Amino acid sequence: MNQSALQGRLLYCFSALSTAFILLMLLLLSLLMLSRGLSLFWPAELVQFRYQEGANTFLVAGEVISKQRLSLQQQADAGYTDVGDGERILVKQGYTAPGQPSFRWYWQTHISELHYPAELSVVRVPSLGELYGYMQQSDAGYHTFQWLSGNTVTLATEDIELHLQPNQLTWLDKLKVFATEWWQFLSREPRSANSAGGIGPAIVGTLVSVMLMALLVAPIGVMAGIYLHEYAKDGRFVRLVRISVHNLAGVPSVVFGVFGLGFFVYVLGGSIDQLFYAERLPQPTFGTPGLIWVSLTLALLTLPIVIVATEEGLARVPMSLRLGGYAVGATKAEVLRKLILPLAKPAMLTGVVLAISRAAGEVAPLIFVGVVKYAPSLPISSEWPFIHTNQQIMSLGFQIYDVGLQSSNADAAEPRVYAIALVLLFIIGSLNVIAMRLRQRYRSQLRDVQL
Amino acid sequence: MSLDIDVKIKMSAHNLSVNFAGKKVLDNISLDIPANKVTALIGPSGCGKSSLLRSFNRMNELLEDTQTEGEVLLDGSNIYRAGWDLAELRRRVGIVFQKPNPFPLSIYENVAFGLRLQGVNSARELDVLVCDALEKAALWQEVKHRLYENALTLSGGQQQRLVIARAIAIEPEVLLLDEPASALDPISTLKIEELIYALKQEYTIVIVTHNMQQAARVSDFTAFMNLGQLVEFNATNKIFTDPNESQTEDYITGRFG
Repeated sequence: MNQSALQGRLLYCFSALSTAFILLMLLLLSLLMLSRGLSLFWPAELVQFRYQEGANTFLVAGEVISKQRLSLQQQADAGYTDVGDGERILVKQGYTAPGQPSFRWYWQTHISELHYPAELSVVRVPSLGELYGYMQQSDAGYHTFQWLSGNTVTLATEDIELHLQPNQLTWLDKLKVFATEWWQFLSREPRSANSAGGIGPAIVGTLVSVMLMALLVAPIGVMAGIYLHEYAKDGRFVRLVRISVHNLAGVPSVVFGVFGLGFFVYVLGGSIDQLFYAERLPQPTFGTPGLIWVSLTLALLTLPIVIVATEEGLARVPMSLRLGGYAVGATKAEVLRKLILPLAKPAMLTGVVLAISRAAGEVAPLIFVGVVKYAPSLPISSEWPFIHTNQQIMSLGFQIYDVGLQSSNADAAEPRVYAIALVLLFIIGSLNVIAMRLRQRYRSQLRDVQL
Repeated sequence: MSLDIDVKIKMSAHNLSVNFAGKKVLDNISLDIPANKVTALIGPSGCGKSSLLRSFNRMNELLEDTQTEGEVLLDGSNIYRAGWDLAELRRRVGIVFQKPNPFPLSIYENVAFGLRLQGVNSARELDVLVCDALEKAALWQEVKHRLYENALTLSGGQQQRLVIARAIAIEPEVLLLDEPASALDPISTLKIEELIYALKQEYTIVIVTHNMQQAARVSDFTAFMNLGQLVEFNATNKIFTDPNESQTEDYITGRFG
């Protein structure tokens, strides 16, 4: 083989390998999100066993979350003794007693009488979280629940969010539980510092802030794109403006957050308060982080995407078409409105959809301007003015950060993080599919126009 | 250059010079365009014949950074005078380019486009005018059953006749044709030539062409240009049989260009 053929071969191999690597990573990402995220709500089998700790023995019930085997070296390093072959299981035992952890490692060697009783129940109550044990008797409106330790608690029927005996559920029953659990996760409010409950307000917050952003960014971005491409003379100033717009896209998003806080919240919001809400001062109305500032900051952040998409859409409309319009006596405005804009519209829409999907995933800038860990009420309601632009909101991106890193219970938080990430990925993915569809439609429309 | 023969003059250029970004493309051209005749502009590539054509309805300034000196008269009025309504000018002086450029709309809407701009909105009136324009452009028989199909589904020759129909629908006084048949096959070319012959009853036509035979076939007068200058302008018969300038003779006999 001669040298140039060898080089070609190598180039081919490396480019193919890189592509394969990217595909593999994408596949892994989706698989991980799907498996971890979805498994959160699949009713797991419940296990019960006797555990010996020193001289005492006690009964444990719960879900096996993971298994691990420590080598002798690791055991020695961690100071574990008398742990047999070092194999251990992580069990989600829920709330058992005050001060007890809800996730705990148990050494395999001290476990006996491990079995899967059919009557073993998991009960979820908002005040305590998940309980693993047995349902005793039920009187009118009240149930008695017994832990394996023998302690009992009386629960009112309306407090019981979920009562399952997973070990006797059929596959179809489990699927039903899975679906209702997902629905509740998507629609309900969070509880216990976001470590339980649903993410409904975060989904609503993300969607509302992003839609409001689209309303702000679409007209401004499209108009600016039209001006830059159609009206501005190609001088030094316009080139400077264009470079600035492109550079705006490269500014780290957290910088936009700082700007949003410094300018939108304090200066703009402060002035609005002084002018219109002076009677409420020093209690701020708009001079504090809130939905409108989130949307404005996101709009600023995504402006370059819309401007660039608009300009590209306009540039693709062939000159011959414009000349054809002028040739039949159209003015510049008529050519633009009747010939060029209809052809460039899908490109502009694509820009807006891409801006939305970019904004939906932002976290860093929003912490400054109005996204919070927990917002007591939704930004939309049936009361005038329906969208409450001065309210603080929750968002999916920030939920991931908060649940993942700020939660006191890492074992409980982890699967929730994957589930929220899955929801966010799904929203952004569907937006991108819409953008792709629009672009295809646009291409097929322009394909036949001769350049 | 004016003519000895007694004809009515529709447009004329007087001492017209055009620069594109500082480069001279037309040098002091004076030329009369007779009314209801076909005037052909011929000459080697880059001689400025297309630029001259486009200066008759001020299309040059849309394409390049253009400076124009001298004047072009339309019925005695200088179109380069400040305050001319360009849309109005282009309604009176229509243009058809080398490559067909139908709008990505239906056949019907292509022809109706200019009419709508002029405020013709009644469906009945539009139907009549669209049909009329398509008939004049010798396209009606081919498209009457598919008026609402996209114009881009037509063949190249049909597209070019559609563009001519679009141009004549708004009843211009002058029709400028910039190599209208050079991108077409021989049969389509023949149809366009027949069309030009029929249209000169109603319109004043100026045609730029590379094809000597075409110029001889369709035109009444011919202007030969070279290097941005008008070399000779005369009746087509005279130019092709007994030109005054040796340059012209060299070009039409194929010795250069």
